[in-house]
Amino acid sequence: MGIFDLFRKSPFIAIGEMMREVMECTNRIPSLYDAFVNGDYEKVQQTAKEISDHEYRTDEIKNSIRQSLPNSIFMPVARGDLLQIITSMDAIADRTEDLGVLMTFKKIAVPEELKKKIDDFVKVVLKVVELSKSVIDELETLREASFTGPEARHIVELLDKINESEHESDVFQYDLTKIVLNTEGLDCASLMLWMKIIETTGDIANAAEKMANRIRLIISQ
Amino acid sequence: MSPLIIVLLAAAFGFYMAWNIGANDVANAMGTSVGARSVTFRQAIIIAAIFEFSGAMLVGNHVSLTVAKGIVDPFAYSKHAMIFAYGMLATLLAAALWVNLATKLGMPVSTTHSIVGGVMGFGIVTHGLSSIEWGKVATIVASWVVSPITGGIISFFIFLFISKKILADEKPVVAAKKYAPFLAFMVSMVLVFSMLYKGLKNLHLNFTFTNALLIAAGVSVVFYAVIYKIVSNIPVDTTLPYKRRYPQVERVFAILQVITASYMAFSHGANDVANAVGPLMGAVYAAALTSHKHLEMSMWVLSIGAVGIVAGLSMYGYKVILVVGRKITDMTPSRGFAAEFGAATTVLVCSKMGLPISTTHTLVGAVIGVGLARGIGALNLKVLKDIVVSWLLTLPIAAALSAAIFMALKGLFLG
Repeated sequence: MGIFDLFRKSPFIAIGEMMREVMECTNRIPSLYDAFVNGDYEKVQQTAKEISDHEYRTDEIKNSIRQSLPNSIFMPVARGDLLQIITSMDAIADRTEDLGVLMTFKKIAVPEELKKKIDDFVKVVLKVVELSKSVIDELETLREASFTGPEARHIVELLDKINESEHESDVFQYDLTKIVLNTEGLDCASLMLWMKIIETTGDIANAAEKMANRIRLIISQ
Repeated sequence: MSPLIIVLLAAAFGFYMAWNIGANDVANAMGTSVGARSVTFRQAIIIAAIFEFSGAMLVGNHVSLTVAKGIVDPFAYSKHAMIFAYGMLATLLAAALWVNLATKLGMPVSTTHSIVGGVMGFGIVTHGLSSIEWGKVATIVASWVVSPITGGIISFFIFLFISKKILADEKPVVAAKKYAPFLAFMVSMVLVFSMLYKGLKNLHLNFTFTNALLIAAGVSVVFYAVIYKIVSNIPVDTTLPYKRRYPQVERVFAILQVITASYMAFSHGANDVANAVGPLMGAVYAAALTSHKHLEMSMWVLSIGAVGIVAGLSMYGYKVILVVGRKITDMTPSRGFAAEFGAATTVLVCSKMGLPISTTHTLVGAVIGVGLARGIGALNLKVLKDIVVSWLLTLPIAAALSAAIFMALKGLFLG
């Protein structure tokens, strides 16, 4: 019936769905790293495949959200902001997939000093993603509260935590890079691949932060 | 045709028109409440039946007269009463057919436009373009722009108030409980005052401005107290996170929305019953060949309209509301309240000014108003465009249909 087609489902509900799929990718990072560091090549292959499958699903949801946000839809948030959130979310899944693929290329040496710190690095990166997810989960409530009030303040606190954790992950990234570069007797292939892996892992946190910053823009309008 | 047959036909066509209004427009009037899950389908039908009926019976005559004699002058037909009676029959049938078709196609056309178009079509074929009161038509066209904008502005500010004072509050449930009685007071004030002051013509109660205001205030204080009592029973749990507290706020609005839904149905009945019975009135008068000096609405004519609306609503409206209730995923009681309050106020005020405005237009405007106040998740502007196009199409189509039916009637019975 005519006038009721005026209403559309809130895009934030679909965005929450996409974020859950993104988390299916990132939640596999610890076991991926674990298998890689321990030289379990088969497990790496398998985990990378799983991540890739979920990344594909993320893309599907992303495309369906984009299709449901034509210019003829009026929303209480800027269309560009929403598209940017989706793009950053997609980047999280993409970089996770890249990480899996990188690890399937070659069995490489694992510097002892790296082994000790790598778990903490992964933890911090995942914390950034985790916090971003809780922000996404609150978006629908935030919209119901018209992007103001205690709910908005609560989210700003979360966003501050995200920025903090992302900074922490940057520090780790520089640290690890330094370790790799300074490891004596590391072959060229290992060096290159480790550099790539560390950078890609850091990018996951960057993408999550970028998404969070977009949400900050929406609230501060 | 004998006058008796004309009266019977007019009553039948008027009922058919009212039936279509009930089936089509009522979804607009009640849908937001059902969509927000403030009332169930069954409750919506009951509320609509009671308040559409009383709205039609108590304040239903203002607009009726505009439609019956505003567009074409019945006195121009005083020597050809039969022509006028046929014209009114054609108008009723044309408008009802068009609305029925549109309902089938899922197009939200205005029942008011349909009647206006029907009257114009008949007027043009009998006395040419010059017989149409173009000034009146312009007023009506203007009200098409005015009503969505007014509804939009009122709803915008109501929702802005709700989001600033309640949703953005540190303790939203406490704030909701604090402001709910005040909002109920406001709703009741607008409703009761407009009903008492120059309303209720059919009951012949003539209140002065001050008296009407005082009585309205008295009734509204009672409303205030009742809502105060109801919301004070809602528990406040400040330990819950905001996300959990939010649904409790909506519970308060669900209570308020029952009032606005009734109010919406009341003003809809007041305004839209006229569409069905205006031409019916004209046909009856023409057929009876009585003095045209006073075109006053008879009670039995109004009842045909009111019963027709309720019949259409319970027979076909149920289905429409069901579709609506499932389709609206994004209505909440607070938004529904703001949209309905704004729309109902606009409809009631405009109807008192004698402007035949459309509930559909006003509600579309009100919903957009709430959306602009950052209330609605997403509005489909393409649908909005389609709706506007169907509004524009209604006049010419209803006019052409009415002209054709009129020619057929004339050919059959006047040779």
